[in-house]
Amino acid sequence: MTKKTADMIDLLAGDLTPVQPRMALWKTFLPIFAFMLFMMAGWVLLENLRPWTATTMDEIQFYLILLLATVGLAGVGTVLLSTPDTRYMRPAFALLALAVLGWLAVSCECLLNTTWGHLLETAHHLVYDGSCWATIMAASAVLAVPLYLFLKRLAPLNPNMVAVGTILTSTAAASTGRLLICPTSEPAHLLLAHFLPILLMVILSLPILPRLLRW
Amino acid sequence: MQQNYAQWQQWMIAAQAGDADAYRKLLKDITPLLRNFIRKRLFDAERVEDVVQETLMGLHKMRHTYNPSQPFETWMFAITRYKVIDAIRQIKRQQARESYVADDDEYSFYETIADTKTNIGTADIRQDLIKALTTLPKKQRTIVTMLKVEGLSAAEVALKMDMSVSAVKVAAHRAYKKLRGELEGHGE
Repeated sequence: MTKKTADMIDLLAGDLTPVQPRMALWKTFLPIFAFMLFMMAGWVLLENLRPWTATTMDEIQFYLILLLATVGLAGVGTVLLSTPDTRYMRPAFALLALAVLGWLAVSCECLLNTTWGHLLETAHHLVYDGSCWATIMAASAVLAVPLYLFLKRLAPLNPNMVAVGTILTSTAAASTGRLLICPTSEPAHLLLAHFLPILLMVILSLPILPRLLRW
Repeated sequence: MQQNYAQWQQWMIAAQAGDADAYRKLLKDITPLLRNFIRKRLFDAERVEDVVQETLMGLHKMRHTYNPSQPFETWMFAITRYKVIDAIRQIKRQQARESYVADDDEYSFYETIADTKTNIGTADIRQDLIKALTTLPKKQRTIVTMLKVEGLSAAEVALKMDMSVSAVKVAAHRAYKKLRGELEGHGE
């Protein structure tokens, strides 16, 4: 052992203070998801719930299930990737990949059920009425803050992937909440105003969030 | 080599409770293993000891993330792996931007002072040095002061400033470069 390393060990031992050990993983997941559900429920209650008939339910249940799965998979994957343990690395990457597939599935489903003409028309309309994408992005930022603070207390082992997972979780949760409120079931609208902001938020966060997560 | 993982786990649990002796034993015991692990993955032999120190700091900083009911070695290697990947990324970035040899920079920094010293008086040098130091950003100034005035090691500065050892060295390198430029300007 070099003298510098030996000195450093003495320095670290001298700097030692008692710490509260990390809790079991399920105990760490629970408060985050409870908080997200609470925020989503509050948001839906504040605004009007979309017309809740059997037909509309059929139309959106596929999207709701896949978005909720995306939230869960991305959330668990992100927390696992922030928990130092070599056994969690592969499952964490697999969960994050599945979460991305969930988002891809809802986006492709919308894309296959619309036309380019309709997409362009909807895009033009969204310039004047951006309530859906704007609220999704704002709600995503609100949800991402506590998630970021929580992850910062753990040890993000891959800041880039943890950043993607964090934003994917928060924006997919915001998109789920908005889907319960927005009365439109048009695939073009859902794709551009509900699912595309997820990708946008991930891209926007990439230059900043990984730096903040580094330790 | 048979590792005493159960013993390490006990020491880590004691360290989380604040037992400095157990912690010192643990760090001393795991360091050779960490060094081997890092050496096998890092192709820059000169950086191995730096990464060992950064890993020890990482383990220290993140000691609260260890769950006592889980194996110690999987926690330790996860952090070590992160530090190695971080070091490889830094090496690649540095190779792309600049060739960095801290000692050379320090040498030429002092060489500049020596050159300047032959031209002007000691009091002037002190004034020029103080003036040059004020041109540095606050963080760099603090690092140079800690390293060169207080005589702390890069690892000690890193711990105090909550930075990695290599980040301290890079900041010091940039500060020396800037100081050298300032002093050469005065010397002319």
